Amino acid sequence: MQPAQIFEKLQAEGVAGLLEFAEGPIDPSILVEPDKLQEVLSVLKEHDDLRFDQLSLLSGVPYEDRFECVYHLLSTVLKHAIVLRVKLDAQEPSVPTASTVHPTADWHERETFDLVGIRFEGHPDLRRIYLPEGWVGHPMRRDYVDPEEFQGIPLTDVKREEWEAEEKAAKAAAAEGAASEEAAGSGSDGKAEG
Amino acid sequence: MKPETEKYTDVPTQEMLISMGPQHPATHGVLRLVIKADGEIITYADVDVGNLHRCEERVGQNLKYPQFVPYTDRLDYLSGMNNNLGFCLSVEKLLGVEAPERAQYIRTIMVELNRIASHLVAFGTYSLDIGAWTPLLYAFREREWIVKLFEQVCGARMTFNYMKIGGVREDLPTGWIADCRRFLDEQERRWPEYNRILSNNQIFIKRTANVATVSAEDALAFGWTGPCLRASGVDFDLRRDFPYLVYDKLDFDVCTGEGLKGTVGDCWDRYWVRMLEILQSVRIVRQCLDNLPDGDIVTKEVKKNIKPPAGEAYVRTENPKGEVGYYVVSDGSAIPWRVRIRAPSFNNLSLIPKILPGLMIADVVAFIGSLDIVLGEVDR
Amino acid sequence: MESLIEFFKGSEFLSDPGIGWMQEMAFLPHVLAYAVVFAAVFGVFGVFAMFAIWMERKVSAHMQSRIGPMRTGGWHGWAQSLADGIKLFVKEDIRPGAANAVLWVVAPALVFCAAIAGFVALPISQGWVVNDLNLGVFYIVAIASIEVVGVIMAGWSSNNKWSLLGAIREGAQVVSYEIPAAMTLMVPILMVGSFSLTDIVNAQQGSWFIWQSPWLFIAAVVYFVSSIAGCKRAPFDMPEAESELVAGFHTEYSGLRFAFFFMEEYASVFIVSGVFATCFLGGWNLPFVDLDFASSGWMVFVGALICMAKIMFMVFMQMWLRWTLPRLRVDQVMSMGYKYLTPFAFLCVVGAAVYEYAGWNWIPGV
Repeated sequence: MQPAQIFEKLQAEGVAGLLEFAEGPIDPSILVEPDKLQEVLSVLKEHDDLRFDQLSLLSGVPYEDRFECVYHLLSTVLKHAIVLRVKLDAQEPSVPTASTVHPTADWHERETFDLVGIRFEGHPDLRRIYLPEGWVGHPMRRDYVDPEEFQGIPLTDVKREEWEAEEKAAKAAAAEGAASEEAAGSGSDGKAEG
Repeated sequence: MKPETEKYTDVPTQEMLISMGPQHPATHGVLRLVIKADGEIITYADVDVGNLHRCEERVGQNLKYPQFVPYTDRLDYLSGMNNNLGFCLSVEKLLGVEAPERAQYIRTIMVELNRIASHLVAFGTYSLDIGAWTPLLYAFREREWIVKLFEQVCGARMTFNYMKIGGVREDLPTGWIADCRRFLDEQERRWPEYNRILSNNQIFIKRTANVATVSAEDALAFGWTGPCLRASGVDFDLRRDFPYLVYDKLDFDVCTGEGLKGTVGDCWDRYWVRMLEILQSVRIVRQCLDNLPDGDIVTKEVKKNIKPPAGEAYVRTENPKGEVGYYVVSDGSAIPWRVRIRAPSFNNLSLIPKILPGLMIADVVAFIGSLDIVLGEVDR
Repeated sequence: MESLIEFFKGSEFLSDPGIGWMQEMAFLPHVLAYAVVFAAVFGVFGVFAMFAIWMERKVSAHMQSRIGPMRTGGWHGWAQSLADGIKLFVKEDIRPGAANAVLWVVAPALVFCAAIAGFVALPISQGWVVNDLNLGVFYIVAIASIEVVGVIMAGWSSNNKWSLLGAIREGAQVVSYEIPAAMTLMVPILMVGSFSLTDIVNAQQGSWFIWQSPWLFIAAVVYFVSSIAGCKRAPFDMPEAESELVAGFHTEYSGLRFAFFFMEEYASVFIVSGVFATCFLGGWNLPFVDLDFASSGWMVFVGALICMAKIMFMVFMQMWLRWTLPRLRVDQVMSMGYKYLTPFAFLCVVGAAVYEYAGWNWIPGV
């Protein structure tokens, strides 16, 4: 079935949440309301004429004014494919999880959360998959800046030099403190330090 | 075979938390599995990917279209030609061009040769995981032929950068076709050897048959594609069902797992589907060589400065590991807005937390080997 | 051995009055004799180990469609093992900080000594044995089982979960496979009526045990398989499964300590091949020919050559199996040992005993 026919079929079935059918350019896609995403996916999966049994790809695409989550679906039985899109808020992008319908979305959503920063409601275990826990920032966003340090490791030369300077200063201060103590002849045991 | 786990209530046992760490001979790369094992039986498994994460998708947002092609080689570094092809096809779809006939045939030849090479590595390293040292050397003996053929064509043995947007970079040198035919004969001659030493070996069958069986429903649900999906019994091949290049003109069989030595969808089936695909690829390359037309190798419609119109394209191709797709979003400029890569090994690996509990530690190695993952594309 | 002691006792050197204090030490001949034997055994073993390692590399290479060492020393890399030995010797001795110091250091030594101690009862030719124990066969089987303790010590003290896994697997495997190994060795012992290896060989003059009766043939096959499992060689090398456990129980060892484990493997290979050759293949006897090996020094030497040839053949068989077969999973190893090899071993023992008691012969006149 062609994408246009699939869209018509879905409309005929009375599926809620279909916003529009984008004819192009190039890849036609169906725009879906975020709240109704899971319903649409279920219908696409279960309906006899549609049978979209595999979610090939789940992408998060950051634009200037919005985020988009794009779902590429495939039917191994009926040999056709369709693209679904969801438009999300630019500040706090969030969409219901697709992993209830397609378990493969589990890892894809973790990756999208990790790299793009879209939250998936209802996801069983939404944590970063590539970057270590505790990483700040989402690299695929346009406004991403590499952090300066992570868990005690400096990530930029500037930061490294800053820390090395700090260490040197601390050592110098400690040495001075010891020297001044000795010079003052305090009532210590006279044991040499370290 | 699942061994029984009887818990003796009067003997306190403790589960061991093992990290099948990033440095491990059998994880096919820098993969880290966190496993809780009660003796030899696994009770919990989690996957920690990301040790090879180079954020190639971010790189794709910073480079022009032709500049990104060498990066695709580094994803699944064992099937560079296939990855090159996927990206070039997506961009060609955005531009609305098609490579000339000769380029299409050459592309098919390269892609199929790379499939043989990748399956040979899968075969060799799988035997090494199971403990047989010799088949690896046999596999690499044949792979050396292929890699030399690639070197004659594009100068590189592993990271080819051979496909251009609009065609291929170089034409076939003189004598290459004869060399290729010699290799194909040799590969067919050597193929039964692999079965004698490994496929029909009782110990290998004991280690892989009926181990980590994956049903077709699970495979489809978790996004499995390629030989792993076909081994679970699903008759689906992108080359036949969503044809690209010249596959619709070629005659080849799609091999599915039949549970010859155990159940459908066990490790032996996944391994066997790859072995059968080697023969099918030989067949495809022979047909291509016989029907190779003359002509250009690059279409003239692609300008030097590639600026596709605004839009998106997603093209699926059949990698040796599964379905590779490049979702390219263009905003009309020379630099893509988003390049999203669908890596088959990423999906194939996602079934691990579900299937590992209940297996023994030795089976983990058998299972991961049968998936044939490449960390370059899992981590991108 | 006794002859050496007598030799030293009667020697001019020791009875020379000029070295009076030496005369008073009655144990000196013994010490000298032991020193000579020690040197001889280690010399033979050292040369054998180096040769076996080179042979393994060449055999594996040719089976794998390549050629192996070719450069070290010139002709086909004969000095490769020597070079490897020197390299291991001069490597830095690294000990994991959290490893249990005493056990970690003692383990390789224990393993190596247990393996080497088997050389005491193994005869190479008529009279060429360190000490012809009257419990020869069982002494070898028993002393070789001490290495299990060493391996478990190594695995546990390394403070590494993978090593521990390897050690536990090894403990289970080796201990289980001693049962069929020892039981099958009972069959030639029954036939001969003595535990001493020299007696067993002498009873095979003219006809080797391996074809004398089906009980002996099955026993030979079962012993061969169990002994490979006892040496932890493929297809039973789960304890040191390189592709799963990195190196199993000896992951944390490097340099000379690793060399000890490595040599222990080849010592075990030599000893079990030696036991197989003496118990089933006739030792230094040629088939169908009756030679008197005690007649002269040369005959004894020829006997030694024949015995070594058989041992090297069995070593080659072990290597052949190693490079051909994949690895069995540990529960498959255990099930094979207990469910298949042990019943066969018992069957052979009972069958042979019944036949001996009833005086039946398989081959008339033999």
